[in-house]
Amino acid sequence: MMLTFAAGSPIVVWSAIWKIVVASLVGGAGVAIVFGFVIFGVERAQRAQESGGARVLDYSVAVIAGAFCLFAVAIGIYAMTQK
Amino acid sequence: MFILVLVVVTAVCFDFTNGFHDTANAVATSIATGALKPRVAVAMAAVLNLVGAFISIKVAATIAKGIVNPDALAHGSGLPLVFAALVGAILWNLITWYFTLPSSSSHALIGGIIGATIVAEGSHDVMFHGVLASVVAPGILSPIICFGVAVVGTFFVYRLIRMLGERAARRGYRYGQIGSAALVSLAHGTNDAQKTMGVITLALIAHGSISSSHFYVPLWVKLACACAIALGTFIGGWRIINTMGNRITEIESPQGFAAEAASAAVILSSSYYGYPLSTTHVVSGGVMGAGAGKRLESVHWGVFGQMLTAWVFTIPMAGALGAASWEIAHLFGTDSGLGVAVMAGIAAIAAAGLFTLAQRNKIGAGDLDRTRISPEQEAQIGAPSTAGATT
Repeated sequence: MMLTFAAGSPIVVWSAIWKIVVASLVGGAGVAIVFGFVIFGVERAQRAQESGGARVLDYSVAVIAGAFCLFAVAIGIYAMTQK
Repeated sequence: MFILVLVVVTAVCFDFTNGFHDTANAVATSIATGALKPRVAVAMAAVLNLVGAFISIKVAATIAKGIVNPDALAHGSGLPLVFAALVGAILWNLITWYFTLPSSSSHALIGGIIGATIVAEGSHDVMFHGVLASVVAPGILSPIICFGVAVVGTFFVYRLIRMLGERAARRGYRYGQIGSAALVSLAHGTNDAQKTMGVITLALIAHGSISSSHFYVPLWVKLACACAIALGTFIGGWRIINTMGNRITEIESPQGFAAEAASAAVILSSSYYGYPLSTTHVVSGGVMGAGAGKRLESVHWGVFGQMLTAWVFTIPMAGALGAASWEIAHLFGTDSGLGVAVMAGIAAIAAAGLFTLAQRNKIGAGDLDRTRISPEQEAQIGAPSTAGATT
């Protein structure tokens, strides 16, 4: 679906807008949420360390979530160089 | 040659105003939550704007090609036209800065170009379809998208914070904000510095130094624009940083991170498709979304109304100022350069007047520093209460 001008060519290309919306949700909202898991993993691991418990699983959550965030940043920088 | 030099100097001045006017886009929420000291924040933003300016020239090409017919600039009036457009944009930037309103420097520039072109060449040389498709539509849609993304992000982040505990979350997101502010600064550099590069290239086309059929941005233009926007950013537009970080809504570090992450994602994904969107509109949408995502009533809709008014009037008002600048320059004669020199003098006096007026209610870096407030204190006192927070 396109909003068109008198000349017939589109003013808003909704297919491109939807791509922007999806990319922004994953890269924007997604990163904000996943970064919470980085904090969550580190916090729980530190608590476990203080009480002498196992902390591998908590650090693993933090590392995986951190890797996702770094990957999103890398994609963003790549997008800058390719535009 | 005299007129070309004056146009290039004016363009570099515009880029400088763009830097200090739009610094708020990247670092306002990081300063408001105490994630970064104000001076450190603007220094980081300045360096990353400098780097970002060199990354790509697609947006510069869009500015030069999409707004007015480049062939119309080959006429004798081309250089005074670009000059008048820049004066219109600079004056509108300074007026909105004086009133502490984060309006779009990009739209001011485009408005100036349109206004000056209409009076100099006629409306037939304005590519209205290009303006609608490349400027107006992204200008409306991008803040709405960023608002939605920030609402979703903030809503789920605060659900997660219930599991995390407030103290750990606030501390963690403060660190995260340093990275997200850096990414927005870099994205801002790739967008806004290129717009001035596009305008200087327009002037070079008008002068005949570059063929309108073979668009490219010379290296010295890239260097001049990158340095000007970085310097402007480093000076720090504290008045607008205060509005963006403190007056739109009450920002906490998780909200600041969500707003910046949403802004970076929208700017980067939109720019990937070559849309010269306004970073100001996007970041404002992100900040409002971050406020609404936690508590809808926390957004100061009155301040948003003032901003929206400025956004709506930016293109027509910058256009009117650009048109008036061209008429004044034309009155004194554009061929000899006298008219352009006279208009440059008038613009300089107007700029000095606005700076002097702004000193009466000055806002400085020290007024905005919240780094001494710990995450625990932030949780107790809640919202920042910096200058004008409730106005």
